[in-house]
Amino acid sequence: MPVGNPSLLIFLRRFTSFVFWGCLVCMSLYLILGPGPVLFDAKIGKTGSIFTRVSIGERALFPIVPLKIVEGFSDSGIEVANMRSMSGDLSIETTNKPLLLMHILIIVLYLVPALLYLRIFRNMMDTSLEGRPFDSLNIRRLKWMGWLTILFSFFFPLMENIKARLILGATQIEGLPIQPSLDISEEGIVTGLVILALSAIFAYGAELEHERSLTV
Amino acid sequence: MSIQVNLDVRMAERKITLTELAEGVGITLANLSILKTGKARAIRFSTLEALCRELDCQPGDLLEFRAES
Repeated sequence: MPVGNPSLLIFLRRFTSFVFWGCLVCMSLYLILGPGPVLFDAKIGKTGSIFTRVSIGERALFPIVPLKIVEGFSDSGIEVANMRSMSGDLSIETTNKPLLLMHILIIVLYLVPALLYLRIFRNMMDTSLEGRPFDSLNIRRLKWMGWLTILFSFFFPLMENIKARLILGATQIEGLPIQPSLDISEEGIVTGLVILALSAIFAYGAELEHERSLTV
Repeated sequence: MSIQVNLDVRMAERKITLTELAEGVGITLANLSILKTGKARAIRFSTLEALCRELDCQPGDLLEFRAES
């Protein structure tokens, strides 16, 4: 017996599927076509942009501030460095190929959790459409989502930290004491815990469903 | 489970098959089989009433308490 609003579930299922395949195609295209032009540009001396999150010594806030690179570090391929926005985003223009490739890889990695969530969500829609929302598989899927959300709350700030370390290791900025930041996402951890709590509610729902099926 | 369902005994006395009983009571064969094999967790009063009517018996004839040793 289908639960809830079947037309809404069907719409959500189709939408999730569309976004999932769209993301997968975009990710594949970016992975295949992205490095080529970037490496070609770097070869002919044209710079590519990289952004990373850093923290500034005394948490001074800047809209956009051009930073001066210390002499002797120009060989690293980093030609321009700007401090953007008020949250400490360091933007550089570089021809440094390993840095550019790493930047592309991290962007692709950001799409992985999106794809995983979409896939899990789509599978949950399928079981809901079949009238089995409190399926034991859905409980496992929710647990996965919760743990992945908590894991990614640590993983991506760590990746940003490594990226910032590599950039700051390849250059030196005059005047500002810039350090790589490690801002662990508290929102992500809370969201993960909420999803885990939801999986416990689903487990109770599954138990009730089982009881109901054995009531004659 | 310490509650024993004596459905098969009553069915044998009445010489009625599971399919006939399911039709008479108005529940599925699968659910009646769950009840007969003792896998059921609960029974509705409406089901019990229909079973007693079809088998011409009292609830106590169908359900029996046996202390677990």
